[in-house]
Amino acid sequence: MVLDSIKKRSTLKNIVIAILSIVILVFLLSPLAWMVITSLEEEALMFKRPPVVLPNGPFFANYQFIWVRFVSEEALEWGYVLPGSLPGVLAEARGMVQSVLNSLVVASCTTLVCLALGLLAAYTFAKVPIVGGTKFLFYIFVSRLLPPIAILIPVYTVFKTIGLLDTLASIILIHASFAMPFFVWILFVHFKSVPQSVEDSARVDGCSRFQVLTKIMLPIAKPGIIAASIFAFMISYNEFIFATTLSQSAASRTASATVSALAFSIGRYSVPLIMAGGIFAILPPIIIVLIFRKTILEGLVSIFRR
Amino acid sequence: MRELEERPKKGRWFGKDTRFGYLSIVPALILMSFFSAGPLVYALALSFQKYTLGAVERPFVFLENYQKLVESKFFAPSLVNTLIFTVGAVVFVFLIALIFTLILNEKFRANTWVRLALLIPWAIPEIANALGWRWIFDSNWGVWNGIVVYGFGIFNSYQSWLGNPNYAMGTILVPHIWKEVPLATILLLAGISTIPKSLYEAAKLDGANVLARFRRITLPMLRPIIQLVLVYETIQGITSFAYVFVLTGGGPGYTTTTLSWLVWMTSFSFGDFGQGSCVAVIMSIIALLLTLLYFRLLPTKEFGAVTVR
Repeated sequence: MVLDSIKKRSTLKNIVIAILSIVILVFLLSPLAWMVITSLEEEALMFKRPPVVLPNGPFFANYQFIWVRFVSEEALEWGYVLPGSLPGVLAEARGMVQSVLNSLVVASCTTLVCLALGLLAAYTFAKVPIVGGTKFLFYIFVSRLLPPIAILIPVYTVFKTIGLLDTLASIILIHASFAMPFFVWILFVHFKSVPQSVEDSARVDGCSRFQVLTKIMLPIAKPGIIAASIFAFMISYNEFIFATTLSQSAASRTASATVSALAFSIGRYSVPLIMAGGIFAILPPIIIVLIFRKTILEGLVSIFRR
Repeated sequence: MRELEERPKKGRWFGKDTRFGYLSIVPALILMSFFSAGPLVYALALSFQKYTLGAVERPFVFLENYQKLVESKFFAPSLVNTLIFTVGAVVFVFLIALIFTLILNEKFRANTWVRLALLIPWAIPEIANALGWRWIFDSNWGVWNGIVVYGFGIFNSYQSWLGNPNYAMGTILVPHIWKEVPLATILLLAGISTIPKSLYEAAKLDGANVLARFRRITLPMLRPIIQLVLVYETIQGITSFAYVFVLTGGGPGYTTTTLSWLVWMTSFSFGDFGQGSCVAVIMSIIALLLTLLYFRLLPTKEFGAVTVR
């Protein structure tokens, strides 16, 4: 009897949780789903009240346009013109693939800079006793907590003066400085959680600090390093204010900057094409997140599991 | 041996460890100084100068920019709007994330998939997110209007969500909350998974109901992560820019003009970099004060034993 009632209650509970989980899924995925649907709409058929979902089935020309224009500059001359779009939108959408490639370069380089500078720093902050260590660490955190837009004007002015405007290098340096505190903090906590005795015994056995880092710390903190690297990558991919301001030509624009240009493109407002561009730009980070899903979640959980 | 290792040896500034230590942090410090702290000092200097777009000379005017800014009609609203946006964002993000955490923490097979889905809004760049929501909230053809008019019948006609001063602020909060909830949920889930199950079982035996267990066990044990989430979300709220930029452009009127939008507007729309720097400096001071306050309130251990005194 008692067992029965417990079972009944747990079935009911399961149903409630299932419904709530579906609600969460809808919350998380429906805006993205609507973007995808819109990007597959045919512009001539989409402006309806109430809104319609793909009356004639998916229409891939928007994606095709973005892709074809990249593959061949002559596509327009072949007579490939998307119905309902005018030059402003065209020019922006055309650069999308190039921008995604730029973004991948910028975000990867940002991650590499973080790895090169942040790994050593995080290890020192966690394990090497130096005078003023915690003060320096605090300094790194606080500089992240300042609003990025506050330094937009000085950075723009200085980069303009020294002629670094319109280069990917300038964007990489800025992005690295934005990602660094996050990166250092995640790794700092991971290194800190390695017991001091592990470090001590390696030191007694004659390992130098550098050897301790490479031979002992790196393997232990691997999930943390991957999670921190993906964070750095995402911060760079996400950032658009500086990427927009520092790049002048389409050749040095990142994906986020091009999406922002797309949002304000002159000419008729071709919604499906803009959405296709947006979806195109968000594909790389989503793919990366899905590939590394386990490591990201693990890396974050292990921050708190000490 | 341990004792010796843990404390820096006084008078040994050039010991091997010390040399390794400083050499390893200096590159990161230089990067931060050149691209974060340094420019801020420069912004402070610019805020005392008359610096407009295309100007060759930048005469020193001391506090004139600040005076003009405080007297301008956008300044007071932008302070209030930043406050509304930040408080709204922090409260809603935290509450929604907490509810999600409690649901997803239940043993349920499909929850692995929902956790996976949590990563997706987090991975979407803000600007693309803003663009998608602008279309969702479109006043003529947007799906949100379709839902509230034809789906629920709450309104009789399509509303201008972004053009109506009563709705605009609430509307731009939605994409921000949607983007921020997942990371907060992931962090809270990570925290809640470290609470030992035995605590709940013991409480159950003592006759504590669900609410009591939540209040007496879950909340106190989660406290450090809750604080971390609140700090992070506060900063995200103050610095949020993409949604104002894409969805409203600070309007209608000044109803969504936040400080970060004001920096952009004065600098790049009005071409007054001096005054833009003023706003930037004031914004940084607010962020800095809030951060210091939070660091004071936080148990220092949770920032990884960083002592800040």
